[in-house]
Amino acid sequence: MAALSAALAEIPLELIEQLRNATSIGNKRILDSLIRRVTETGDAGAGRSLQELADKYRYDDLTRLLDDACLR
Amino acid sequence: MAESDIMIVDDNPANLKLLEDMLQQRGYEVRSFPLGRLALASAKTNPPDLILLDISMPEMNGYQVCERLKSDQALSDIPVIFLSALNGAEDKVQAFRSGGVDYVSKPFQFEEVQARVQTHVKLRRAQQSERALLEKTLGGAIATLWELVQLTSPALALRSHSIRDIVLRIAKRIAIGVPWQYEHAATLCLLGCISLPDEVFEKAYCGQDLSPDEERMFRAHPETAARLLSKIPRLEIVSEIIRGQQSPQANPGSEVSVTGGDRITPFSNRTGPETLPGRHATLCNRRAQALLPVQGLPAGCAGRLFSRTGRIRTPKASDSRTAERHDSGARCLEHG
Repeated sequence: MAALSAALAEIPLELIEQLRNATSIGNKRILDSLIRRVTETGDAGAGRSLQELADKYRYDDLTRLLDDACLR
Repeated sequence: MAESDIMIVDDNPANLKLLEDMLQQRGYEVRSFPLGRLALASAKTNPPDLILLDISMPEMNGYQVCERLKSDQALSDIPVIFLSALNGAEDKVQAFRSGGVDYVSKPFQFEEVQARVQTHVKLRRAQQSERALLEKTLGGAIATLWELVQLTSPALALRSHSIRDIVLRIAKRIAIGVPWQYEHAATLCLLGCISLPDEVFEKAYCGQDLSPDEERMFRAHPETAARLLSKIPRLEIVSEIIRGQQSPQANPGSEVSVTGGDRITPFSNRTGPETLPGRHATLCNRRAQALLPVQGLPAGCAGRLFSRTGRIRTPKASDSRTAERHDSGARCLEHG
């Protein structure tokens, strides 16, 4: 989780905010497509970790991580 | 049919995924949550058209989630279909008691889930269009009555318009959301005056003394309006507010007088209460009190909103507390 948190710090804030929004509205389809963008934009590891959390619908964990990333 | 927004709440990721995929394939917009808490937070900011809700979940079970939804006026109309492996009669009864509209047992056939979703989405849309039609019908009825007032007497219409304006100003100043009943009651509070002979209306309008017979006729105008409005379904409360406008019993302890000066309020010739001199402000207070207190605004509350020079005062903390009580009374009425 700490590694993912550090990786998210490198992702553009706009994308983090979109991920945060998709998580809060519970739209998995949009969330999946945004996570694909994370993978495509360079950080495949972060993308995989995010996808794993998303597939388990661990939205509390995702929200916490993304909130922290927004505050950086 | 436009795309419907379905929310699924289930702590089992496999169930969420299955329902999500199948509903998306049928053209629904789907949002899924593993916890009731997250679903409630999302529904508050973006209410879905329907919720598929599991019962056995951590933190908050499905019944509790449903009860929370139903206790929120903005969300209470959303149909909830329970999906559960609990198949006892008591579980199903509990589901309906907590506000669910349907119950599907797990394991489920997707076709059944889809058929029920479709049915309840259609029902909800029908209810929404029926409500919209009812609102238009009521609006049309009120507009017709208002036009009747305008055709009968432009001066009367002007006066009614001013009273409505004042009620809205007071409501805004004491921070109550004006329930539509108050607004319509204010608009139509002088409707009964169309039954008055012109000369009686003119005398009352000018604040001249009325003979006992004329006084009796004039005092009957709220009852006349209330009788007309009571024939229109859903305007019963408006009718009662109007009926009580000259009655001190409407608000025990009210300073409203039914004798002498309680004529058609001359203040409405002016531009509004903020520019009114003392006497007009007093009359303004009377009329505002007469319309607003009926549902629980304590005596003197509206009166305190105007200074002796007729300006609307800045409310104090005690006014806010009063407004809260008033607003809760109004909400009870809406529920009723």
